[in-house]
Amino acid sequence: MTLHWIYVLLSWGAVLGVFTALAISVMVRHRAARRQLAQLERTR
Amino acid sequence: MGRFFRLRQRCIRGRQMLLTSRASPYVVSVDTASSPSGLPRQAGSLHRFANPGRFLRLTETWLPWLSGAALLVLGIGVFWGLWLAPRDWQQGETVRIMFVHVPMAWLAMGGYMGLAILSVMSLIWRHPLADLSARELSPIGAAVTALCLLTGSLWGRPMWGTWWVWDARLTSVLVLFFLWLGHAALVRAFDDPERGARMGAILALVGVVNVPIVKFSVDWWNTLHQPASVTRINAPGMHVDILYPLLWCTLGFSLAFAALVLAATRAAVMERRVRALQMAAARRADAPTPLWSAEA
Repeated sequence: MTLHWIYVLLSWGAVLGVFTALAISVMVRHRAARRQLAQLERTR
Repeated sequence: MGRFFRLRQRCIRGRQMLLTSRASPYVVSVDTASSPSGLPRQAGSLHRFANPGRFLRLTETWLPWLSGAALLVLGIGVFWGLWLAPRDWQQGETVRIMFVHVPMAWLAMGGYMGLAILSVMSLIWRHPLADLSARELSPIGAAVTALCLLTGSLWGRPMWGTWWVWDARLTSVLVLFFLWLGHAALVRAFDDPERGARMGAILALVGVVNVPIVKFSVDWWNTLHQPASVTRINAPGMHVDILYPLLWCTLGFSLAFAALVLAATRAAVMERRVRALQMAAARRADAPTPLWSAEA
């Protein structure tokens, strides 16, 4: 693997990794909020 | 003028409903667009989306499709960009960095224009979802701008022989990154979310002056960064073998960006309702017991 390919893979890896991390964090927030809402609706 | 005030009133009702509605978070039965005031519903106009319940309903349908489309287009984009696209005769394999760097740059600037539009909606019409969307947009915009800087740096090292130069393009994108970060920090710095949203909107509108500076910096100053290769006026300065995967990857990342912002806004709407319900429960628990109920 050439040095150029290392730069290419680092770039793609950073972009795809950050997008995946953002998607996971949003999904976790979404699920937590949905669970809390369901709980609050039950106790109301 | 009357229509302007009706729209503003509906947005304010939407904001109140976001905080106080007792309806289900997924299906809000009171629809401000179809109007307690008896005003006719105007299909396609902006105020239809001032209703958080409607937003939750719509995004519940749209989000899976949007996310699926983003995944599909990005999957093809990864294959096309890393495997099918030919190496450039001058840049070699590093041309493949363009397939992620350019979409990040366009999203950083386009996203900031979106933030400015949301800020206008927030300041003029007090649109409840504009505040929340802007609040959720800024960290994602900051991440995308940081990726633009990082991938540009990773391209610059083998091509220019340096990670960074203080030329007009790179510096103005760095300023854009600080504007995104500043907005994200400012809207979260106030106890009163409405005040934070107002301050953030003002900052976003002041900072919008930087967007044309980013765009035209390569024309106005002598920069190491090359001028735009894809313009509306001239033919693209690259071969279609490079141009098509670039446009394809831009489409994929734009879909992913939109899906992320929508999903984050949806989560924020639900979190705000959780806080409103918790506060209502706390108020009920603190309320004094009426005498007649003690006698009963």
